[in-house]
Amino acid sequence: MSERIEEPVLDRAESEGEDRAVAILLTLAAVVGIVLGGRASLVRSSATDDWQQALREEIKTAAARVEDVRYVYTSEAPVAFQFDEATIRAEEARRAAGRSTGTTRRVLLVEAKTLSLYAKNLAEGIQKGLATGRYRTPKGGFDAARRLADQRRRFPDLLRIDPNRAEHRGDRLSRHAALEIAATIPAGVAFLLGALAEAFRRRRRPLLLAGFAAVASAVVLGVLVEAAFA
Amino acid sequence: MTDRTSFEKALAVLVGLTALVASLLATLELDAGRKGDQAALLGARLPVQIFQGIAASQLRGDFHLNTQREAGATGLQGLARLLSSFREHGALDFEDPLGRSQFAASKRLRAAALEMAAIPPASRGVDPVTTRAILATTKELAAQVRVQGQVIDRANAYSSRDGKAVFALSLVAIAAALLGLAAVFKAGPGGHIALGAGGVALALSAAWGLLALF
Repeated sequence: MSERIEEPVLDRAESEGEDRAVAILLTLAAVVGIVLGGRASLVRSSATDDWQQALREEIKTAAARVEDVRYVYTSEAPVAFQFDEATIRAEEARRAAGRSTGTTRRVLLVEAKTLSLYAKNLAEGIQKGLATGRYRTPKGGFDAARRLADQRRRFPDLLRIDPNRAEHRGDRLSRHAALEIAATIPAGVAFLLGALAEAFRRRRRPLLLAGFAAVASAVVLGVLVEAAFA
Repeated sequence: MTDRTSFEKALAVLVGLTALVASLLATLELDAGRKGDQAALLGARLPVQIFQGIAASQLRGDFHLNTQREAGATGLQGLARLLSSFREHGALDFEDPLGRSQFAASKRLRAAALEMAAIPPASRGVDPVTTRAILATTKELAAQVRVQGQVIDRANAYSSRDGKAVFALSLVAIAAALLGLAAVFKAGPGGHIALGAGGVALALSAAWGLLALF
């Protein structure tokens, strides 16, 4: 008599326990999925921020770079080369005067003096140092490349900006977000298994076991992804 | 232990599938979105680099070309002076040596101009990006333009995929709402209609998600 009574009681208790397990599995799957999805969304947002920073830096550095090139090659270098031209022409006129006599010699010396004076005035009109030895090439030209390097070094902070760094940071965060969101798939599977366990009671146990395993794998995947990108 | 009715079973299966489809679509959407953003970023950075290359290389190229023209012009002046004095039969004796000095200066200027143009900017400490920009060739710029076009196409393709995934996710949300309604109405006519509509919305979302892949 007592056995007849105990069996249904045990069945009911077992059934209630499984009902609770289904509810716990569904809740866990939902919570894990939402947490992972939310985290992925935040990480992706950070990736977008870094990519936008890379673009802003690209524009900022390019503007500064082109302005430096423009300044050196159109404002300074042509005048510096005019100085070189006047200097070389004056030297050649003086050399020719050395080989001449009389009026010819005087005219050539006047020409040399005129060109030297012109060169001197040009040198005074351009930035100090451009007509000096630092920017002269062995053959008497203007070392525009050295001048450009010096011009660029005026703002070392600007020179240190590398848009690729921000882009690579964004790339890494973007991969992180993709893997994080992929970890929600096992959570989705767990939810499906929980729903199936609710519907098909005769196969509850294996469905519940598989469901908990899926939710655990979602958690493990999430932790592994976080650890890999920490 | 009593089993569920077929209505309840169908509802549970559809709810479970909704969760799974939602997670799959969210993954698809995020992946398409990030790849689209990545391509769009490159597509925006490249024109800046292209314009920078065009501007910087042209400024440098023009300067070096002009220095050689200047050197040549000085030589031509000297030559013209020589020819003029030759026609005057020595009336102005200084013109000849002056012309020759100009011609000699022209040779030196040309050598200086060539030397200036041949200086590798990196050897003077110009940073690598600026060096690349001022030495950019038409061929390199054309290649960059081609790559830019390709990444923009890629950005557009991923953006389209992203849009489809978002639409599919919206359908999933509708399916979830309808299934919730079915759970409230239970196995009555309203419940069956909501269940059917939810199932259709879910199937459509899955189909739309698959469509986004191609």
